[in-house]
Amino acid sequence: VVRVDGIHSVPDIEAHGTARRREPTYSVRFDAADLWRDGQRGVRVHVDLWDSYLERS
Amino acid sequence: MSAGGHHPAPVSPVEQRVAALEALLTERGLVPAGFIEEITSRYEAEIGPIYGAKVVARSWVDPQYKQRLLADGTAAIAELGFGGPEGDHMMVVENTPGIHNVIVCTLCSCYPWPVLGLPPAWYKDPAYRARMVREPRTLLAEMGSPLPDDVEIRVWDSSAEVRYLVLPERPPGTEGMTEAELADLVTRDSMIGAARL
Repeated sequence: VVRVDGIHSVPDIEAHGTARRREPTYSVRFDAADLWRDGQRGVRVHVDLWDSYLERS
Repeated sequence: MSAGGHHPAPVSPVEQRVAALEALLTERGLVPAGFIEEITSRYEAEIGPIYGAKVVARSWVDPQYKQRLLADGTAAIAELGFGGPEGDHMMVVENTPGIHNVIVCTLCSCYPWPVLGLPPAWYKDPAYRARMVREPRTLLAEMGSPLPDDVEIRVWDSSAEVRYLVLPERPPGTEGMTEAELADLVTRDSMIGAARL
C-alpha cells in the first residue's frame, strides 16, 4: 500500500440503490511480475482500491 | 466500405441512441438546448490541456510550487484557479531520468478533466486500457516513446476517486524560456505519460 486516500462511497453498492457504504481507499502497488506470468521488467502497476476489495495476505 | 466512397458512413446504433437520448433530455427540459455542445467545447478548447500545461510550467520555474504540487496536487492546482468535477482528489506523479509515470483507467475513462480537458478517444479504447497495464514498455514504444530498459515504469490506474497528472521532465535547453513559453511546450500526451517531451 503506497497511499491512503480518504474515505469514499463504495460504487458497487451505490450503483444498486440508495444504500451507501463508505470505506477507505488505497493505492496498492504490484510488481508486473507478480501480476502476469510474462510481466515486463521494471514495471510497477498501482491500482486504487476500496478497503473491502482487499484480503489480509 | 471505402473511405473515398460517395456515401457518408452510416450512423451507428450507439450514435442513434445517443442522439435520441439527447433529444429526449432537451425535449423534457432536463438540459437546456446547446448545453452539451457548450460543455464539450469548453473542455476541449478552453480548459484542456492548457490548464495542465500551466501547472507543469509553474512547477518547472518555481521549486516551492513544485513541492506543494507533489505534496497536495488538488490544493496546488487550485492555487492557479483550476479544479472541479473529476479533479477533487488530484495526485501529481513526477517523471525523473529513472522513472516514467503513465496514467490509465482500466475500468472506464476516468481522467483529470479540470487540467486536461476531455480524454482522447484512444484513452478510452479497451486496447490502451488493457495493454498499458499488461505491456506498457511495448505500448509506449509503439506510441513513439521507447524507454531504456533501466527506466522504471510506474502505471497508475485511476480505479477509485483519485485522478492523476504526470509531471514531465523539463526538456534540456529550455533554461532561458519564460513560464508562458514553457507552457507551450507541454503536450497533453506528456501529462498522461503516453509521451515524453
